[in-house]
Amino acid sequence: MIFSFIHSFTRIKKDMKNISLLCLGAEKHAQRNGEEKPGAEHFLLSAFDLPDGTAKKVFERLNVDPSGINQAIKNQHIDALKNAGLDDQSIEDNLEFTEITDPKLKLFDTTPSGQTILKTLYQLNKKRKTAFTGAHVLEVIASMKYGIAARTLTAMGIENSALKTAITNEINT
Amino acid sequence: MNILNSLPHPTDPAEALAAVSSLRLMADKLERNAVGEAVKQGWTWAQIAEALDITRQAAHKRHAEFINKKEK
Repeated sequence: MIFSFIHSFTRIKKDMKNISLLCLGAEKHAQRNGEEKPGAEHFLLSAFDLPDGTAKKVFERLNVDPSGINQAIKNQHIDALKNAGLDDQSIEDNLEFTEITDPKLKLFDTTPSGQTILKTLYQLNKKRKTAFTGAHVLEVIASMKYGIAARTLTAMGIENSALKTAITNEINT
Repeated sequence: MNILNSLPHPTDPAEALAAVSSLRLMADKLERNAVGEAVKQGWTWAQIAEALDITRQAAHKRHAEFINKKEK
């Protein structure tokens, strides 16, 4: 009984640390892109900064370089705007990413897609016995069919079914 | 060019909604840059609010802190 309690306590402590790193990281990535609230795409970037390194291992299984995520986020916006009839120059002039270097102090907040990630992670965490990792964050993102994060992964040439398989294999390692 | 003719058709919601999401982001960035420029050119918050058709308080709340920090 005492061992079970210690195990649960250690896991909760690890989860708290990871969630803090994930949220702060996502916020930083959003600010780098000139956005105040992090969305799913910023949680995607942040998953690769978690110390467990499992998100990187998932991408290694797919032979995809995660350093291309930021450019892929921009590319999917460019594609969507070209689809809306805007020319290259208008997009270049107005889709400028100005970093927020001195953000105002306020309570942590996300876009609705960011909230979905945190809620789903929390729900899945209740079913798991181990602390969540970057691969688990990717698992949640892979379940999202639409939105910027999903379009970013498509822009990187990642097939959803292949991503899900790589995540499952990494989690079960 | 008639931009309305080149917009994705609503019957393809995935493409249309992706366009809306990116246009919204672009509009936000354009608004922030334009308000910054307006302040630099000496516009008052009342004038900016009038141009955006929002209240002066809303304009100030949305942009003032960012612009003040940018100017530092």
